[in-house]
Amino acid sequence: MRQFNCERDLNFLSAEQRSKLTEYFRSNRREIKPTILRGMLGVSESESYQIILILTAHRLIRGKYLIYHLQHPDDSYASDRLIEDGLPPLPFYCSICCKNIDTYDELDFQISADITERVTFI
Amino acid sequence: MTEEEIIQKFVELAAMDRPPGDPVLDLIWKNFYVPNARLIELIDELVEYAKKAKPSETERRRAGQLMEAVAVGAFKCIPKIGWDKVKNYRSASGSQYDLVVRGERLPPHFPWDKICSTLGLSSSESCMVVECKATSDKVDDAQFERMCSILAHNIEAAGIGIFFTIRGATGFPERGKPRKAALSCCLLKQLIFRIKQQKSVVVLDIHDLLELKRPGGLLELLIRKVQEISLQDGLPSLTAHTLREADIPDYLKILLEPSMDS
Repeated sequence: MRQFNCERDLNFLSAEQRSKLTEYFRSNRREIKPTILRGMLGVSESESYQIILILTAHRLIRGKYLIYHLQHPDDSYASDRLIEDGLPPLPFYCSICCKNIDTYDELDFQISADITERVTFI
Repeated sequence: MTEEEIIQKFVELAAMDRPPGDPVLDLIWKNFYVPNARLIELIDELVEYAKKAKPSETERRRAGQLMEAVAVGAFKCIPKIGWDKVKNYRSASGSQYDLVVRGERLPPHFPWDKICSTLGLSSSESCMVVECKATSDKVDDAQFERMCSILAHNIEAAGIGIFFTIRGATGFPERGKPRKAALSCCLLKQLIFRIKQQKSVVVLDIHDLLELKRPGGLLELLIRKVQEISLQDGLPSLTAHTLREADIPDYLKILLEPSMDS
């Protein structure tokens, strides 16, 4: 099991929050999202994204963008892409309507991550 | 979340000072520069051209255009640098320069500030001058000197000059050749100019241009090239993902082997 020292990048997390996060990573849950972090830890919106991005950078989770084409509000996301590959370059190919999208104005993004290993947050 | 809001998350993450090579910084660069398919095609075409032993006049002209397209295309892959921020100049004074890139520095959405501060550029010197040379020769002293002069006298708001080239510049260490133990030609000018003006002129060759195909490539490359000016270790540039072996004699290297820890 890997250990992650929160003192440098996630020092806003209290001992109790670190312990809750450790518990979550030890459970069988395989996905983590900013909304889950906010509900579980009571952190701010900005902090919830920081947690995902920092853990992605340290390769403790596989952070990804879920990419939505705004023309299909009721559909699931059109594509996903690892955060470490950066935002999708344009034109973006929408797999739902099979069209190339030339502007980010027509796209919406959510951030999610796969938990790939058990981590202890200290 | 919009693209702008995502960029904003990375700008927030970038607020903290981090040492070079920090994985968080790497992730930030990968999201501040994402090459698109068009740029990758242009680079591939340029690489094919560079392999030609005797290109025709038409091919040479096309290579010049390609190099400029690669330069513009690469900077266009940094978010919040629109076409209005990438200007093409043909100076009447005779000091020809191809592009001047001015990133938007307005907070809170823009990554240009972080890029400039990591490159050591002050807020009054946040422009970059780009000159493209798709010739079969290396950039020579006179061409290098002219770039230095542009930075010193013509565009004082520019803190860095960047040559996009095929063969690099004279005096720089070459891949596959012995370590250079002396400073000469453009390499010497580069160092003197940095000491005198506190500004950097960096040179990208065809091997470096291949790195522009990777997320984060342009930014990591520029940061490394600027750092190398003060390093002057006589070795050619590393690619971003090549770890340099400890640069010490063999009789000392054995001390670094894991078996020597016990």
